[in-house]
Amino acid sequence: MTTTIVLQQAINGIVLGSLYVLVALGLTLIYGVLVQINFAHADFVTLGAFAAYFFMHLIGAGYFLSIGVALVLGAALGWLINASIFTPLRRKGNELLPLIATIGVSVMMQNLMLAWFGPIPYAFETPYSSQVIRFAGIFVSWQNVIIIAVSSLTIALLYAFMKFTFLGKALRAVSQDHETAGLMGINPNQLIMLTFVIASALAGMAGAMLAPVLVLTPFAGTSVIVKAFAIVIIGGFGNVEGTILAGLIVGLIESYTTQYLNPGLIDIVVFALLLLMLAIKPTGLISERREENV
Amino acid sequence: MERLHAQAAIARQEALAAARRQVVAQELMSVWPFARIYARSLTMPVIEQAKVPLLNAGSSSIKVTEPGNPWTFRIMPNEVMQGVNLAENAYKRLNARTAVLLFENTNAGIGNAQVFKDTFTKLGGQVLAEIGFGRDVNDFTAIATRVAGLSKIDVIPTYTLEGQGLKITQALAQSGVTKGGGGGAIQIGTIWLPFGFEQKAGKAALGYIRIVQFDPTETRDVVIDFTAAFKAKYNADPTHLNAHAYEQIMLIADVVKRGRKDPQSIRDGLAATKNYSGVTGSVEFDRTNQNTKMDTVHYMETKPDMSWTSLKWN
Repeated sequence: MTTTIVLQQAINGIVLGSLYVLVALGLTLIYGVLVQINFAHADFVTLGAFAAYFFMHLIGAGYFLSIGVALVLGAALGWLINASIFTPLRRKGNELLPLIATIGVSVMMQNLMLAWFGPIPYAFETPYSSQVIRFAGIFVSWQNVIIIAVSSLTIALLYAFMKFTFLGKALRAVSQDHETAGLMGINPNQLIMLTFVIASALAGMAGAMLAPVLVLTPFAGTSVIVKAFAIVIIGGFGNVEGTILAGLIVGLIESYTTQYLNPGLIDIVVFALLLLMLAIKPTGLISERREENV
Repeated sequence: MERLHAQAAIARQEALAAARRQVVAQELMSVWPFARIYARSLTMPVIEQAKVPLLNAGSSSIKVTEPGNPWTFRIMPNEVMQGVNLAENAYKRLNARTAVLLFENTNAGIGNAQVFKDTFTKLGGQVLAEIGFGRDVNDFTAIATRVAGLSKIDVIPTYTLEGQGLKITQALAQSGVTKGGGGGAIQIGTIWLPFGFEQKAGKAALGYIRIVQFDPTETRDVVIDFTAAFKAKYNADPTHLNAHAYEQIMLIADVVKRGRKDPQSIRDGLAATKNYSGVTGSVEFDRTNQNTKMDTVHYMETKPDMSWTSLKWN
């Protein structure tokens, strides 16, 4: 029984961690390239969740198609908001302006969604939510299998994109040094836009994946984003590998804290780890080697 | 009559500002808020200062009436009335001997769970685990796994709002603990969840027994007439919110019919109300202005087709 519970909680932790990773990846990408925290990221997640919900329940589309719609909507919205709000503010040369603007965008989006969708929680059921696989005393829903599979695939694709494609390499170059990357013929503004689009697409997709798990309200993303910020810091700001590792660790910590301590202590344990990390290794679990020329 | 809205995110400031604005600018005779405890705890002093009676039908927290605020009345059962009754019924009617408590870490969640625990253990029952959780918890699979790992559980009193309630119910069913998932445990609860919860939760809610504010299947004339009139006008069955709003207004109307016409005399009239028969039950206030009538505690059980049946336990 004890082994079964340990294994079951490990599966629960990996599912939860995968969800956190999906949300945190967008944050870490934006920070890595722009050195900017995007407080509106949570609301892109929520909007993705609602987009998938309505596409599936009103139009009658399949769940996987709804995930695709949420991804495209997230990407489009990311492009629109970056082009209309963040880029003009960045051109003013004050780094604080776009940061504050992300807070403004977040509050605006939350209240727009509240006005459109209301405060009552939505029940987002997919055909896979109630289908459960049971083996050797362990259970896992098909929805959770999909979450792990899609998260793994997304992470692998993103990793391959960053490591092996010209655009990915260019993104990494911009994240290391805007000016030098510019001198090498890379257009940093275009890559900043690309980063926003990828991060927002990831957020939209994360919303569609999270929606059947989350309590779906206009504030749904907010409940996850605090953990995502913690994961980004624990993993190492701007570091994709670190974010993945930290996300899975936090998911497992949550599961085992629930099992052996109390779910009420989850935030205390996670944020104690964050403080410990800041004190001992402020660069995160996996810190990127950055060389600076004087 | 004016309806005021205050959304959850800004309830504190809005509720306080709205109360001040309305109480100061208009000569209110009475107010009937549905706001939860934190908004009401802010508005109550304003209401008391202005000497306007407040009829509460939104929060079961003992703190609403126990401080002894002469201007605040509660027509619904408080957490102690519900909790004691629920524990007694779990032990005596459901023959429950073991329980696992699931509750949100708020005044109301902790308070409800404590009342159940005290009564249930006094009767001879055993509480196997008390699991509190924050409002930011979304995935309840880990909690359900922990519950599934405990020994035989008879009842799972659950105290949380609709969103988390849905997820808990589904997770408990998936883990095979509750009736909805083929297990033996019965999920039970006090007034937290709205009408329509069963349809959202689906098969996972099978066998869920909970207290609701209003039983539209009651055969008293006042209920039959109200339900029929509501259906004729709105082409829908009345919910607990509709019933409570109607009850609040009709209580004031009853006091006015007895010749009370200003806030002070309406307050005194409310306090003197005896055996008022309304749609949610009868009303008679104690010295703290809490309605003492247990026929306002209605039990329902979710059936396999996701409709519910009244248990007529009170």
